Amino acid sequence: MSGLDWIVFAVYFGAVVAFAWRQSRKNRGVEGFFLANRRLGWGAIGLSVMATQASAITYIGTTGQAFDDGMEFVQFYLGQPIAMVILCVVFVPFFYRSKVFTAYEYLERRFDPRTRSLTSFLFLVSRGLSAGIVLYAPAIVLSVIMGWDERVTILVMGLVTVAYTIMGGITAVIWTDVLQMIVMFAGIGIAIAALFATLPEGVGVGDVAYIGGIHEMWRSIDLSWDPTNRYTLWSGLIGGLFLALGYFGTDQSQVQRYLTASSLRQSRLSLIFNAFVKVPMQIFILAIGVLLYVFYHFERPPLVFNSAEAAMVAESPRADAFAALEAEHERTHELRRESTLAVLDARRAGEDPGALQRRIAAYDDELERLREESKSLVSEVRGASSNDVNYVFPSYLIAYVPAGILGLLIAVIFAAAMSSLDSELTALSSATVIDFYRRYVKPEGTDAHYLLISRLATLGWGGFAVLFALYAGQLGSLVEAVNEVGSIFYGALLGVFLLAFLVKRATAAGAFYGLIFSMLAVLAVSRFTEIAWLWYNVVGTLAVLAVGLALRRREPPTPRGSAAGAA
Amino acid sequence: MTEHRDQAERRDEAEGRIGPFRSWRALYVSVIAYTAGLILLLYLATRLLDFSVP
Repeated sequence: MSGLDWIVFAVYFGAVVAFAWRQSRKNRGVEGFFLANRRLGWGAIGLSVMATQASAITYIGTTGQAFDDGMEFVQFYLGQPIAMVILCVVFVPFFYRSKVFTAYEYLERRFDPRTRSLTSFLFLVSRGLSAGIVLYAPAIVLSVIMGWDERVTILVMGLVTVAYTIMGGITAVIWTDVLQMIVMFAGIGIAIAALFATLPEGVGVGDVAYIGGIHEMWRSIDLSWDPTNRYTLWSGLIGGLFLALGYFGTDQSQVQRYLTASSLRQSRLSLIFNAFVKVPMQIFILAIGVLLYVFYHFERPPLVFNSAEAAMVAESPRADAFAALEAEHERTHELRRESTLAVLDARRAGEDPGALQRRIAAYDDELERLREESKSLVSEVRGASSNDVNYVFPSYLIAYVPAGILGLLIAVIFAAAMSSLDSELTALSSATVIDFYRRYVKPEGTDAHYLLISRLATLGWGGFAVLFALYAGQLGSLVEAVNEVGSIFYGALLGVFLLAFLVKRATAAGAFYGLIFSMLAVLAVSRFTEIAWLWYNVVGTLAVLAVGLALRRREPPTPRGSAAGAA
Repeated sequence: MTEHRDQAERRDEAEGRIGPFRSWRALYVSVIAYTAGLILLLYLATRLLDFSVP
C-alpha cells in the first residue's frame, strides 16, 4: 500500500472512533446502552441491519463465488424481501409492544424460563463462536494480501471495535454501522468503476455482457426442483425465506436493532428499507465477481490467487508440477485472450462468432481444469483444502487499483468485518446480562450496576472473539463446524417463535421439547441425506411446529397479560 | 412517560400514509410486487444474456 492508501485507511479508522465517541455521549443507563433509549429512526436502523448482515467474508467471498459460478448465488437472497413483510406483520409488533430487551425474554412471558434460557444459550453459543470467525476469516485474507501478520490484523480490528462498543453501546454501534455501510456502498460503486476503467480500451458494457454470457455467468435463475442443488429459485424463495425469518426474527443481533426504534412504524420501516435495498446490493456485489471473470480474459489471472499458498507450493517438492501448470496456464490464457479480442471484432463486423465462441468456451474449461489441478496441488502440500475464492477480489485490488482507491477499498473490507462484530458484541452482552445475569444472578440491581456489568460483558465477549480468532488457525475443522452450527439452530429457533406468535394453545412443554427434537431432526438430515443446507431451516421449523401442535392445550387458553403482545 | 409513549405510538400507527403508500397493506403488496419484478428481471437476464454455445 502506498502512503496515500495509509492516509485514507487512517482517516477511516479515525472517523469511526471519533464518530463512536461523539454518539456515545447520548447514552444513559442500561436501556441506553442496549436499546439507545428506543429513540432511533428507520434510516439508521435499516443501514445497521444491512451492515450487521454483510460481513467481510460476504464482501470478498461472494465476489469470489461469482467469479467461479456466476450470478446464481443471488437466488439465496430472493426470499428475504418477503421475509421482511412477514416480520413486519407477525414478529415486530410482538417484540416492540412487549418492551423486551432481548428476543428470548419474550419467550419466558409466553412459555417458561427454561425455553427462554435454552434459546438464549443457543444464541450465545452460536454467535459467541461466530464472533471469532467474523474476525478471523477476513484477517487471514487481508494478511496474505497485505503481507501483514494476521495477529496484527485481528488485534487492530478487534480492539478498535471492542473499544467503541464498550464506550458507546448500541448507539455508537448503529451510527458507526451507518458510516461503515455508506463506505461499503461507495466501495461497491468504486470497485465496478475501477473494473471498467482497467478493461482494454474499446471494451464496453455490451462486450462485458457478451463475454460473461459465453460461459453463462449471468445465469441468475434456476427453475429446477432438485433439493440437492444448492441454489435454485425455490431453495432461495422457500429455504431463503425461512433462513431470513430465522436470522432477522430470532437472532438477537438483528432483533436488538429494530427494538431501538422510536416507534413501531420506524421499526417496520427499517426492515422494509432492507427489503428494497438488499437484493440489488447483492446483485452489484456478484456483478463485481463476473466483471473480474471478464477482466481476466484480457489480463492473465494468477493460477492461485492466494499468493502465500502459491509461494508455498513453489518452494515444495511439488514445485516442478506447479511450474508445469503455470506454463500451461499462461499459454492457454494467451490463446483465450486472442480469441476474446477476435470474437469482439467479429461481432462488431457483423460476422458469425459461433466458432470463436466455442473456442473461448473450450479455453475457459481448460483454464478451469488447470485451476482445479492447482488447488489439488495446494491441498496436497498444505495438508488441508484451499479456499482460493476469497482471494480473487483482494488480489485484484492490490494488483490493479490506483493508490488512494486501494486504501478505501481495503477499508471497506475492514468496515464490513467491524460492523458485523460490533453488532454481535452488543447482542451477546445483552443476552448475557438480561437473560442470565439479571434473571438468575442479581435481579434487583441498580441501573448503574447493570450498565457496568453490560460493559464488562462486552469486554468479555470481545476478548473471547479476539482470542478465538488468534487461535482459530490451530483449531482446524472446528472453524467449519462453527459455520454449520447456525443452520442447525435457526430453524429450531424460528419454529419456537412461530409457535409463540401463531399458536394460541401452544404450551411450554411443546416449545421446549419441540426445540430439542428440531435440532436432532436437522442434525439427522444433515448427516444422512444430501439435501442442500438452505432446506435445513424449513425442516427445523416444521419439526418444532409438529411437536408444538401435538403438545398444545386442548382447552382454550387463559389470558396471560402482556405475553399476548399484539394478539 | 410510558403513557405518553403509548399515545405517540398509537398516533404513529393511526397515520394512514407511509410516504407514497396509502397504507401498510399497500406497502407490503408493493414489496411482493417488487420481488416478483426482480425475479422477472433476473430471469430475463438469464435468458437474454446466455451466449453459450450448444
